[in-house]
Amino acid sequence: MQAQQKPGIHRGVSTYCWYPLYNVNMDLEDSFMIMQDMGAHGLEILADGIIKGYPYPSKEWLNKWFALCDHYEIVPVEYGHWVESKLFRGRESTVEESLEQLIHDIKLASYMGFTCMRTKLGVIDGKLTPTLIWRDVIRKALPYAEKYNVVMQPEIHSPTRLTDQMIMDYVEFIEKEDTQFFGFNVDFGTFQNKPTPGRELPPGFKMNPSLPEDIIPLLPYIHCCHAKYYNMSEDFDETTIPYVEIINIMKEHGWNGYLLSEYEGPNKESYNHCMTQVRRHHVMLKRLLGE
Amino acid sequence: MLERQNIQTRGFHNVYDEDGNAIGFQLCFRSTYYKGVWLSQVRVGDLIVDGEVFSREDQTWIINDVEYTPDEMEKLGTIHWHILDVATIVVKKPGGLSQGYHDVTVNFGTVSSYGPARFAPQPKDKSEWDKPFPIEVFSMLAVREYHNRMIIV
Repeated sequence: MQAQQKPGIHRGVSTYCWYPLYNVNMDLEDSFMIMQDMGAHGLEILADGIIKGYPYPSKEWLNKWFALCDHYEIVPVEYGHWVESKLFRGRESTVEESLEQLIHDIKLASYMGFTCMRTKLGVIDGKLTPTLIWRDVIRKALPYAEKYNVVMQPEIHSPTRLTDQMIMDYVEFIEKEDTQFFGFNVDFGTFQNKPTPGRELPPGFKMNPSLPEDIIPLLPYIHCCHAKYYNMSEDFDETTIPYVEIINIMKEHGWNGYLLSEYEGPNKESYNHCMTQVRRHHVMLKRLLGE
Repeated sequence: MLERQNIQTRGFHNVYDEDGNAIGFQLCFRSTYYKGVWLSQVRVGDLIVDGEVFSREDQTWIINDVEYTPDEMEKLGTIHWHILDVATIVVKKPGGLSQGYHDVTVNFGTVSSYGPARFAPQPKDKSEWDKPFPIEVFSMLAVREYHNRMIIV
């Protein structure tokens, strides 16, 4: 895939890390400066939170986008978007309505230089089972993804586990369609095996994480990951997710792609806290990746 | 730049007709969620100032320079409210608001397609999670209250 321009595992950042700070403490250009400073060049944006005028950005905005990416050595990796299934009261979106949103985002993502999309499908229950029409929608979008050379990827997010039925369904679909344009973004929160400090689980609830080795059979279908972090300690350790095991497995199996930092810990509204956490995260990633 | 909180202090003032009579007031409101929404996903509730209730029928919302009633917004699935744009809420109130402090509450919610509705009623028992939620319950990030104490200059 195009996102993996060079073999190996690369570092990046999702703008989700700092969403409460945008236009309060910082803007998109600040994000790019922070990323360049850390040598983390891969970018995920949340399209409808970053693109001014979404879904129809002006030519002026797009020109500025290309200039900023060029100036700060930013690699557009993943375009986060939603296929809204709950658009109108009392009914789900039809296949045609879903496809219309999806095709527009495929074209815009491709134009902006992205090679992957975090394709968030509507869900029907608390285990995040996707809308029942997902196969129809994705199958009809595949020719567009291929033409515009972007990979659609649902995000596999806690409480979903990598061994759940929906993952088997996705793999079966990919194999049956014989496509490289549909895959996964694995959010490392699925591996979280210790509670975030200050967010202990209510009595009776037990953590039920994916195991690091669960990722092995899925690696061929993963183009980038949300390197989730909740708590980076002062000595550069993520205290809730078994990063050492996960990264070692990905390295041993020769996985290529981008790890995109995604902060989901406390104090997201504190600029200083967020900046400290992301810099600690990238110290840890550099050490684990041998950079 | 934006103010961090949902109800912005900037933009809170009376509105006047052509003859200079105060016919109501306006305030600027933003969502502090991480994603924007289509207008059909916006849910507007009561707006309360110092205990006086203004229902959704008393409000219009200006988004991208276009003024909508809450009912009109619910029919528009292709117009987007960007997360970093404020909506201007205009409220009818002959005479407007007096100079000085006012306690303001905005009831506002958005519909979510893609995740458990965190603020909607959810089954306590996790074994229930496999069962589809009723669409109206599940799709609602229940309307929440936002407060600010603000000054009319």
